[in-house]
Formats: sequence, structure tokens, C-alpha cells
Amino acid sequence: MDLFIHNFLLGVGEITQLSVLLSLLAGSLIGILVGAIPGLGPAAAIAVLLPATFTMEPLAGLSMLLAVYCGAWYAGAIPAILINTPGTAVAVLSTYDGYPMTRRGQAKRALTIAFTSSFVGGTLSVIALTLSATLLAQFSKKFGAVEFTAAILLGLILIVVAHKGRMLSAIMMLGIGLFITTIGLSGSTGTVRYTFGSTGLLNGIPLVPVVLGVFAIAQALILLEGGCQPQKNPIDFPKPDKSTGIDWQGIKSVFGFPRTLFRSSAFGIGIGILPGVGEFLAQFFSYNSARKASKDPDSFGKGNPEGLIASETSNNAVTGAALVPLLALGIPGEALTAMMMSVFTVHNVFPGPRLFSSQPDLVYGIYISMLMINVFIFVTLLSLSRWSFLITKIDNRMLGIIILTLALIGTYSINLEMSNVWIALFFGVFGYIARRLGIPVVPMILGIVLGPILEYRLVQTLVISDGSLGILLDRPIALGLFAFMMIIIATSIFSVWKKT
Amino acid sequence: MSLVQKGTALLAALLAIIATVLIVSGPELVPVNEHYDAVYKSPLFFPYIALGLIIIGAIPLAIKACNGLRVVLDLDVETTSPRLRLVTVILIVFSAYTLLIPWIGYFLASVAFVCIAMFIVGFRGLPLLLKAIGFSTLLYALFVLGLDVWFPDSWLLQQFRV
Repeated sequence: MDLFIHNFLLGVGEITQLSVLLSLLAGSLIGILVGAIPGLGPAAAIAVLLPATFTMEPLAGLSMLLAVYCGAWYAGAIPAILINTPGTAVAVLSTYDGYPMTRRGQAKRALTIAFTSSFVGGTLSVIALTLSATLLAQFSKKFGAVEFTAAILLGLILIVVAHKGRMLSAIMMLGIGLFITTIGLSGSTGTVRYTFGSTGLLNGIPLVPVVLGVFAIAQALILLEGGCQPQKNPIDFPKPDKSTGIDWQGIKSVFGFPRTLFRSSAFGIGIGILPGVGEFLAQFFSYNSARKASKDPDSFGKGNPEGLIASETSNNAVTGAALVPLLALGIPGEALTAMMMSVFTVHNVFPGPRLFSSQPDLVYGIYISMLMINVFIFVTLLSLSRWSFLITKIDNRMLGIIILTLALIGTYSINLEMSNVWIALFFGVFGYIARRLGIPVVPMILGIVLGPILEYRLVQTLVISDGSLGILLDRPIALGLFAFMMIIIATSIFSVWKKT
Repeated sequence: MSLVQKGTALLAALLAIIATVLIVSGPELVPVNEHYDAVYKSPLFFPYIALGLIIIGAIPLAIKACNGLRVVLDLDVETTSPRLRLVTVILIVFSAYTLLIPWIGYFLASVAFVCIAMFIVGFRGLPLLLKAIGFSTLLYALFVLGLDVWFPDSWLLQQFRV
């Protein structure tokens, strides 16, 4: 307990630095803006901001990205509730009950309920992160090369399985990501691999231009294609002067559903910790179980506040939990945490069990930063909810052009080389084609992030065991992870077989 | 067979072919000077696993796409129809923007890009020019003056200096 208090105070010391506070506030506002604009999404925004965070202190950079991430998740509910178009894909289920409430003239109540539920989910998620990451990091001190290999393999399998209905494309994209990491000078053997004689490729293909390409440039092209589309089902929002102040009754009403709040948070946290599975599954489980447990299940989808609480609580409960595998094991579970990993590595900080003993100030700084982000976003959104409708009026075409210009300077600023812009452009075209064909790009990014770690650990494991993968069965932790992998693979094969 | 299914089949087949070629030509493309006593010590070990995964995913995907694969699109992609001509033109203009920076400098290239891109997507009139200049000034102030992102002297600036 003393150690916890000591580390907590260290974290408070870190977070009270002006640079950290400013990045946290700026990130939250950018996140809110990004989440509230339909079609933009946090991935494109984080990709654009990533190069700028490399020049900041690690905690300031991470706080900014985390704030964008959380802000977008909160604000995604705004267009979902007001114009029946989710700001971020995870806010899909919020349209089911949020929009009917708006149609009944309860837009402000729906927004208040969504923000309050998000705050509860987000805060519980940070508490879960604080407890579980520390415990997992303690446990993972027992991890050696074999256990890390098993954990990464499990992560990769979960990422593939998470793309239900698109598993073949996910395997293909994962392979592309892993292959990209092998281009250039090999760290272990010192051999030049697949550079085709180009000296520019000797250092490999950097992650940031790829991320900017597949997320930012591809997204910009899709926004430009959409043009100035009229909003779906536009309705009149109450005029600002008619709906002043905070809707305290709305906040109170959320706590009238304690079971839904805790069940949805549990789904979000539990599923969020698993790499690759993510907020969609959490939201669907949460919404369905709330409907099943409700006394009035038929009203779900017709403006039942409990449905809105279930979806918003669970998708925001994922945000903190998603950081658990990154901080405790150094294994990012999805694209956004993969991008955050590059902020760590650019400062020579390596997430994993050792981080908790070597830099407790940073780890606890992240926890406190997450708490502050949730409080700041919640207060900001509640205070500005009557102006929310303005944000949905931004022109997609202008946004697309802005993203393209930011992508250019973002990639160029990494090391002041135009070659990075061409890499970003190439991956932008590839990302655009992939998204148009329904091929997921996230496995490719995770392949690029996890590829070097997997290669290093896998070769180490094989050297220890003299080439036998049977060593995975000899060690208890690795055996446990291996058994979990087998269960997942068997379940997926069974579900595919059952379908066909 | 829909356009998306045709595209998926084509892309998957292409990637499978590239992966196969890279596996077959691996020993020529990657100089393996010494003899490795175990497969896993070879620098080609991990690339082969990655390329193998591409083939394992791509071949059945191409076959499934030919047989009528059910395509799952992201929500924003699903609600907008592809405008390939527009995308191609924007990509060409973006490439020109990148190439123009060493010639006319970052600021002027940005103004030109934003102006042309806005015109292509349908903006017209004086607001177009004002928005382009305003936004490019903001970009310049933020990145070049604020964050100190350095650009080499442009050819145009050098002419004036002389």
C-alpha cells in the first residue's frame, strides 16, 4: 500500500507539469472534435498527431494521444444521437435508442445520459487498468522468451479471430505486416533482406508513414468521395437559449440503472483487455444482456435510456482496459495502442513488466492522466452539449483536404525526408483499396508492430529448445496460453463449420 | 460477381503471386553468405513465415471471392460510393504538391494544393482562395514557425535571392 501511495504521488508530480496538462487538454478537445465529426475517427487523428508527439516528453505525448482516443469515444455519441449517424464506428448502437429520444425532443437528455454512462465506464476502466496492469506486470516477471512468444502468438490469433467473416483477409494482412518488418537490415543476423538494392530501404519501412497512409490518407480519400452529403434525417435541435444549464436529472437517471452500469463496464473491461477483440463485441454483449435483463425488452431500439447506457458504458470501459496488455506485457492489442507504442519506443522506453519498476512515475502518470481526461471530457461535454449540433455541420470535403495536408507535413516532419511522404502515399492508396474491398487494415499495423518482437522471441525460443516448439508445452504459463490458443482456434473452426 | 468481389479476387491473387515469387527468389534476394546449421537461424526463416501467411490467407480468399464472398464494409465506406476518377485526380494533385515543395516552397505549394483540391471537390469563388490562403498560413505558422519543421530553400526563393 505504501508503495502504491508513493508511486501515486510520483505520478501526480509528473502529471502536474504544464506541458502534460496542456497536451491533455488539447488532446481532449481534438478528440471531442474528431469523435463528433462523422467519418473522421480517432485513428486518422492519432496518425496525424503521432509525429508531433515524438518531440514531446513521453507522458505529454501519451496523454495527448490518450485524450484524443477517449475524447473521440465520448463524442462519437453526439452525431449518433442527433443525426442518427455514429461519429465513430463504436457508437453504432447508440443510434438505436439515442436517436429515437432526439425525435421525441429529448436530445439533451440523451446526450447527458450518454456522457454520464461514458464517464462511469471510462472511470471504472481506469480503476481496472490500475489494478490489473500492476498485477499482470507482477505475474509477467515470470515471463521468458517462451512465454512472450506464446503471448504474442495468442495476441495475433485473437486479432485474426476478432475479424469474424473476414478472417482470411485478416491472415493475409497480418502476413503483409509481418513481412514489412523483415525489409531492411536484420537486427539478429545483420543480413540485408528484401531491399532490392535500395539503400533507402536499409533501415526498413518506418511505422508512422504506413499508419498515416492507411488511416489518414485513405480516410481523407473516402471523405472526399462522400462530398457534401446532406445529413441523414436532419432534425431541429433545441435552440441554445431554450436549453441552458446542465441536465442534472439526466445525470441522476443514469444511476437508476446500477446493474446495467456495472454489467456493461464488466463487459467493456473484460473484453477490452483481450488483444484485438475490442469494443464492438463488448458493446453487442452489453446491449443484448441489458435487453434480456430488462423488464421492458421491447422498448429497446425505440428510445429506452437503458439501451443507451448499456452501449455507451461498455464502449468507454474498453479505453483503459485496452492499455493493460500494452503496459504490462508490451503487446498492443489494437491499432491505437500500437501507435502509442511507437511513442514509447521513440523515447527508448519499453513497455512491459520492467517499466513498472524502472519508471513507476510514467506508469502512474498514465493512470492519473486517464482519470483526468475522463473528468475533463465529461465536464466539457456536459457544459457544451447545447452547442453540440454545430459540430455536425462541418463539411467532409474540407476535412478531407485538411487531413491530406496534415498527413504530408506529419510524415515529412518525422525525419525531414520526402521519401516518407511517398511511403505514406503508397500505403494510402493500398489502405483505400483495402477499405473499399472490406479488407481490414488493422492486422497489418499490428503485424508491423509485433513482427520484430515476435521474430526476436521466436528465434530465442527455438535456440533454447534446439528447434523444437514442444517447449511451449513444457512450461506451465506457456502451456496455459497455448491451451487458450487451441480453444480459440477450435471454436472458430467449429463456428465456421457450423455455418457452412 | 460484383465489382468488390472482382477487386478482392484480383488483389488476393496478386498478393499470393508476389508472396510466392518472393519465397522462390528468396535465396537470390537475401544474400545468405554462411551456412546455417538450423532453419530458424537463417535470415529467411521469419520472412518465409510471413509470406506463407499471405499465401494461406490470399489463395482461399481469391477462390471465395470468385464464388461469391459476402463482403463486410465499414460503415462510412458503405454509405459512400467509390468515385475512382476523383480519387485518381486528387492523388495526382497530392503527388504534384509533394514534388512542388522543393521548387516553390512549402507555403505556396500548400496554397496551390488546397486551392486546386477545393476546386476539384466543388468549391468555387472567392471563399475558395481565402480559405486556401488562411489554412496554408495556419499550417505554416503551426509547423514551420511553431514546431520548427525545416524545409530546404526553394528554387523560387533562390532566384529572388540572387
